[in-house]
Amino acid sequence: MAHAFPYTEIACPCTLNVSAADSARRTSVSVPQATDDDEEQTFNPHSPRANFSLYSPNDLLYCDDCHTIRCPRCWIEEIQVWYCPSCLFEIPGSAVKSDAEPAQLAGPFIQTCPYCSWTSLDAGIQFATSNHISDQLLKLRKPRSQEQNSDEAGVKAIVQGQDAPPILTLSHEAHFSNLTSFYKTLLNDAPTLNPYAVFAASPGASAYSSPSNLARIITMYSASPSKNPQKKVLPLREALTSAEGLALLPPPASLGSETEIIARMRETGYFDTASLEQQREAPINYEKRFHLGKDALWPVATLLRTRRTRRCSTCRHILSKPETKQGITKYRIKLLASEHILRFMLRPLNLPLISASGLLKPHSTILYVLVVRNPLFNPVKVTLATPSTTPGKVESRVTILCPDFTVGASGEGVGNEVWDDALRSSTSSSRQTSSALSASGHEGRHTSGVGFEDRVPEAGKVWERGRNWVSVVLEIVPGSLNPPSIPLSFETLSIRQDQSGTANAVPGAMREDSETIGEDDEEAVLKIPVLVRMEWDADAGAEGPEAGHKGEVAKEKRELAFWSVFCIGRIGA
Amino acid sequence: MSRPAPVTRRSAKTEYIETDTGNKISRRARIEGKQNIMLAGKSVVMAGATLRGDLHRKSDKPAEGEKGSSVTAISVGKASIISTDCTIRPPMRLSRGQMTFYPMRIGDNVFIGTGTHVSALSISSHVHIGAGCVLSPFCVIKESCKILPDTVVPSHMIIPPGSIVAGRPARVIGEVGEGLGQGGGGEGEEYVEGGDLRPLVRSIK
Repeated sequence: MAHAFPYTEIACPCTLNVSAADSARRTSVSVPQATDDDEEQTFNPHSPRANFSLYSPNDLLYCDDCHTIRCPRCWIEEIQVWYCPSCLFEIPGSAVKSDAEPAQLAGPFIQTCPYCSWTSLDAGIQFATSNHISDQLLKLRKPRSQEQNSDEAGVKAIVQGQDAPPILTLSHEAHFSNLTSFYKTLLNDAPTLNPYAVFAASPGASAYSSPSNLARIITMYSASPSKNPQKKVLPLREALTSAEGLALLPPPASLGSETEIIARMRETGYFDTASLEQQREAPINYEKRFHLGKDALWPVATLLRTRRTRRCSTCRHILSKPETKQGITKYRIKLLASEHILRFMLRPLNLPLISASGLLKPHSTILYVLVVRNPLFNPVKVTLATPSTTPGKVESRVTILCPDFTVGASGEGVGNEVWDDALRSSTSSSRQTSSALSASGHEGRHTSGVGFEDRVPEAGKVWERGRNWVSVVLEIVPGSLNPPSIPLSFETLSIRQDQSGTANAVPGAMREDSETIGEDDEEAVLKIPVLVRMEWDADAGAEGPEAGHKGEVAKEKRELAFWSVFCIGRIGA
Repeated sequence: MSRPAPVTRRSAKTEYIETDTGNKISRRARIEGKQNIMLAGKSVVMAGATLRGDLHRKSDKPAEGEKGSSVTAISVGKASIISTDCTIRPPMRLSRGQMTFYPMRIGDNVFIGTGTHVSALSISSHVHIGAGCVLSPFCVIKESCKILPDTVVPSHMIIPPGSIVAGRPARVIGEVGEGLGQGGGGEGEEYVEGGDLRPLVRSIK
């Protein structure tokens, strides 16, 4: 989501085409009948579900086999290479265990943070060499965890009905290893539970992956009856003892452990305690509360980052492929949505008709210019459609003055643009750009002509036209956040002056108390959903030498429709 | 944003001095050691920006008769924009009792927002830095990153290519979409964050 108003977002059509066939196979999930009137239903950008399908145009890719845009939900990512985010060293396919050059400097090493001046000495950690830090950390942890385990080693099983329930905690490694071995034995003995689990890696994998099941099936089909009675099949159970990996939360006020912690927090102060975020970062640190001493957070290695190849999930076509060579961040293949569908840009026609606070005033008409740019090599016929009032709780009226127009084609190569620039700048009078340059640097370049400012937007006509772009005017009347209820009478007109009381005072108000909309609400942002429909003639796959021999290339009519949302600004009260 | 000064009887002084290579330097920019600062071309330095080119490594003593080579303290790439009230200072380190400065390299198409303090060791190309940021000494910012306003990047941090970075201390909060930077530079087209900044440079008068 962009930060500066106005911005546009595009809704990926993948969400509207959920096929009923896929969901019918799963009997456990009941899916409401997919309504097939998605074209007739207006896209409501304020609905909670809309958040999942709206993306900034920068984030979208385009599959040219399927001729549709692809969002992060409808592509598959394949990891190409792993690399360290600090030194940008790429890990080759086989795990690298080779040692680096021997450390030049002798002496103990510590880790320090240049921002908050924490050092690893605070947690009692010192390193002998400056590389293989993860190995050294692991070695340092083992004596600590053993010491911790021996304290609670006496308590082994759940005791029922005792007054003081025992403390049952395990160090992280012991916990993990006990639980994994427990679950592995359980899965080997358990029958198949999920006939739909196809992959062997998923839990409850299919019948053929478990050796005991295979054995059972073979004995079933073999002629001789099995001599041993069938083992009774138990359902999966949870761990019961600490040897199986059970670890209990310490009960409150048990053995003074909490009071100890509180006393320590009182001594050391707030800034020496670890935040929840820090505790949750790695399982090692789940119960660690301090930055100093024995109970301190343990340093955790940063995860490696990846460079990924993206594929269309339906046709497996590669959408984006980064360069494999190290150090080069370009892409080998990059099919961007912004190069295959229209690009939008909004700016106010007259500046600025917003109040000093930057909020839009309700009931005052504002005019915005929408610039539609066509990156394709063919002219595109564009149709825009939007409901006359915006959906959602705040109703603003929107009119597009010219909903049907054609945008020219982008020329090939840079040469054309340079010529056009030169021609335009010599014939037009220079005009100061009146928009202020904000920190994010948005600025429009106006084509200029004499008497430009005197034009009035007319319905049915485009505002401006360029070689591959067209701009039209949108007339927007923001609605008010908390309108009084209908019917309007003189009494309600006077009550309207103080809007906060309106919802209470007028009976049968359109909005209830809980629904009064403040300026900070998400609903106060003026979002205009527009259905954009592009039609163009594309050269249908001129592959092979036949296209060259024939005089003409077959033209194919293509069309694409998608919802896009223009976020204009926030409405003030 | 500058506008040409109103025409008065004295000769009209423009806000920006334009060099042969297309660099635009504001008259109100504070530049020290200008011979040690290289601006590649079509870059903009706005009013109030402080560029400390006087903080450079002492060059080795030239042999007799040879001219000492000039040391570049700050080198800025093409089409980069340094906004108002920024401070660009080469990173320095105290080693063996002596303060050594390291040359700072800023790449092409870098936008540095207003009021930021830049002491980074290097900033690669197509980076967008928001307003009010602090880039502490020796941090390294790789290509196509986006640094949100009011971030503090701690010293020696390396920001991998294509990350979105925010917070104090700066944390990588996301990755830049592939389309970032596309779509700028055409006619009738405004400047796009992370993209070619030449139209923006052209429009600054």
